[in-house]
Amino acid sequence: MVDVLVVEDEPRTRERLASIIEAHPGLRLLAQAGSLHEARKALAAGLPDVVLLDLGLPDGSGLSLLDELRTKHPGAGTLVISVLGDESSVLRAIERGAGGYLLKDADDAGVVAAIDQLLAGGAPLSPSIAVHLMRRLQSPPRASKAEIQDIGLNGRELELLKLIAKGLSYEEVGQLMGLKYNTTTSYAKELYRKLQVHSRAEAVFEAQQLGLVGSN
Amino acid sequence: MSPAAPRILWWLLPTLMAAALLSTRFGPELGDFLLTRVERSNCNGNSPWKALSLPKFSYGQGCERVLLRSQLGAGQTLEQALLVSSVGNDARIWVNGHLLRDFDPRTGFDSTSQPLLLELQPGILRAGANEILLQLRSGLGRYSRSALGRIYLGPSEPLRARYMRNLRVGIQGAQFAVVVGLAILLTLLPIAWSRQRDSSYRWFMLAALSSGLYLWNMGWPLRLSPSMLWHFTAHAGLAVALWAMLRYSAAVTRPSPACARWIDGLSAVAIVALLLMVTVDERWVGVVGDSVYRLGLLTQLLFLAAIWWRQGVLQHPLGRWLSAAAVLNLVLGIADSMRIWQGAGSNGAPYLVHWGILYLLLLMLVGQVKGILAALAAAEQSQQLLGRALDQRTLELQQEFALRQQAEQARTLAEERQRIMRDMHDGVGGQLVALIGQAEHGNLDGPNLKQQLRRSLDDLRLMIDSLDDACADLGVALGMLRQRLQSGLKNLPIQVSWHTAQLPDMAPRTPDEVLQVLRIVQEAITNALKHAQCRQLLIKASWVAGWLEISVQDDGVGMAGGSSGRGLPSMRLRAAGIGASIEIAEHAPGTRVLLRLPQALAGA
Repeated sequence: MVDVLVVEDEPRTRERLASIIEAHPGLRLLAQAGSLHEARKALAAGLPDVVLLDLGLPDGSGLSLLDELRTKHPGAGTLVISVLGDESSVLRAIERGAGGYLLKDADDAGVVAAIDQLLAGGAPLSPSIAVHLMRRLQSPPRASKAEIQDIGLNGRELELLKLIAKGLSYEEVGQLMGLKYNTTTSYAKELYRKLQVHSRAEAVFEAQQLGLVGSN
Repeated sequence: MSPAAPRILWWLLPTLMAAALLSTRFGPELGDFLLTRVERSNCNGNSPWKALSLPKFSYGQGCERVLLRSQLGAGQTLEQALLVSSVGNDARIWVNGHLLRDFDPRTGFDSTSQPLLLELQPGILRAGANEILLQLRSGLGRYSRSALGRIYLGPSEPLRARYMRNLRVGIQGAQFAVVVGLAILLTLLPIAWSRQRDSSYRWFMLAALSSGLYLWNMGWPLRLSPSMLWHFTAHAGLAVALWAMLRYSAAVTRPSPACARWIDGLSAVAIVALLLMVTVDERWVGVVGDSVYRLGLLTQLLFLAAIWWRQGVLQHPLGRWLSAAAVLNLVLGIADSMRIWQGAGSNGAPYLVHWGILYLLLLMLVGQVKGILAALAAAEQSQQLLGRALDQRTLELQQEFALRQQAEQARTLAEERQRIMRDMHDGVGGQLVALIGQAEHGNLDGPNLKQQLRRSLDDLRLMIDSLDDACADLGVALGMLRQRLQSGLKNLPIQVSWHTAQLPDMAPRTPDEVLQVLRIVQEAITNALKHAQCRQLLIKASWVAGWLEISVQDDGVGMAGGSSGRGLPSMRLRAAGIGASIEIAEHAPGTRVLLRLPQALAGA
């Protein structure tokens, strides 16, 4: 059974998502929260496998919950709920550890498919996000620590991103590159991880520049 | 060099000169002891002086004999010194039959470098007539012939002191003049050399060089009576130096061409007179040549004074100094000439004009150095001014640039904001208003409402995507459109194929252009889905030779299916707004909408 926590302040969306999860035999609704406060309480009560997280909450940004999840419950996967799926909100969430995003108007099957993809080790990639990943990961972070040496793009990843950027689906990309569907989506997951490391290295560098942390 | 230094120098040199020359005026008058009654004969043939028996001259070279007679009173016969200022290259001297000095047997010994002083022992001179005979040995040729210097006979002590003082002033002054003159030359020549292209500086260089020749020959190696070649070369140097100074001054002040011709003519006359005087062995030629030469030099100096005065009045005080120096030379030259005409140098004082030339040279140096310093100062000042002006201008430009950049940013921002508001107003806003209207009239059923709302959301997403800079590449924007539409299309009984992935990376477009292209393509797709009753829909994009072509082709009923409601006019309007063209053609079966727009490649 997969335990799911829904964090969404808009009641009808929250209830719709909750009902989709309850209706699905493989999923279990751990709790539903309408604010950061409620979400923290729910997390204290039990550990979810998947969190569906809205970023705009009445008592703060869902991004701060992402930080807490990353440090306290690294096993939990998070899908950010987005109305528009635009790069600015999605990319920021991915940098902070989100495993993917879910469009708010997705139908029932779409919601389940997104959770399945996350659990299977995959992640969604839009053409726009592919382009941004290419740009970010092709320029090395300004810090140069040994641990972040392996975050550049390899040839396969670059090929995949270029195909996605032109609007090809995972299936089509898989066919062109001779990969299984799951392998293809897991590429995206790996790219998300690299982006997280990259942006953390950048953050550390900027903090060093500001004198907030020591350079050793 | 501080500004005061040259002024002190200007005064110091003439003051020292005057003091040194004045010191030679004190003491017994040398002229009183000069032996003036001189008879000459050559050494060949019979001696005209029968009373004297002379030994045979056996050196195989030219020879001249000079007989001097002196009447001494009874009281003057005791201790006397015979002073011979200079005797050619070498000489034997007899006084009343006593051989007092013989030829120096050392060949090449230059006996004329030093004055000859002979102390006469008591008993050699006698009261009444005394005879002094000099036998002069000439040098190797015409121009090294010996010239007898002044010969004095008088009481030893005062005569010796006075003579030695004059000699010292003459010799040391000449040494000083040579050293200073060479130093000036070493300074002037590089100045002139560095400005060779300027014709006036070639004259300047000639003036400096020939002044140097003059000073050297007159002052070094300290011949009181130089051999003729040395002597005339020095005079030639002087004449050429004055000529070159005149031409230099003329080149600087640019008087009339006639003036330059006068300068050349005058100098030529002086130099030719000098040459005639030296080469023609005729007494009257020598006298006339000497006079013409001296007059020529004096006129040259007069010219020089006039030109420099004019230059000084027009430009700077240095010109007045230079002309004063020229006048000084004029006066000194006349004084020297007068003394020579009065009879072989009545008092044995040194020549004055040598010093004057040195002064002239020094002033030229001061003028050049001042000119260079002034030019350097002016250059530095103008450089500083330029630098300041440049800094100022840079600052202004930077400020202006910043202001313009701000204004530009503000304008772009305002335009973009306006565009987004217009888009929202025309797009989502209009759609929502229409929905409200429909809801009020109750003709909005569930599926219809959902369809309409989805349209609004899609349009909003198009707008958002068009603002994403990744979608500035139309290939990526089309990819986004495809993914956006995917979920809505997958449940339809229509096979939708996209052939847009082969596009190359393309140059970025503005958000507005991206939005218009996306709306046109979306509109074409929506039309096909709504009206064409098709089973297949093909969306294809390709880039060919600077053009991007996007076609939406269906296999439906074609334009007959009611073209009026297909939003074609709005598509054409959008296309025209971004410089694109739309072609709608019937295919059998179906319709093809073709959007064409000019498009550069990325990095092109």
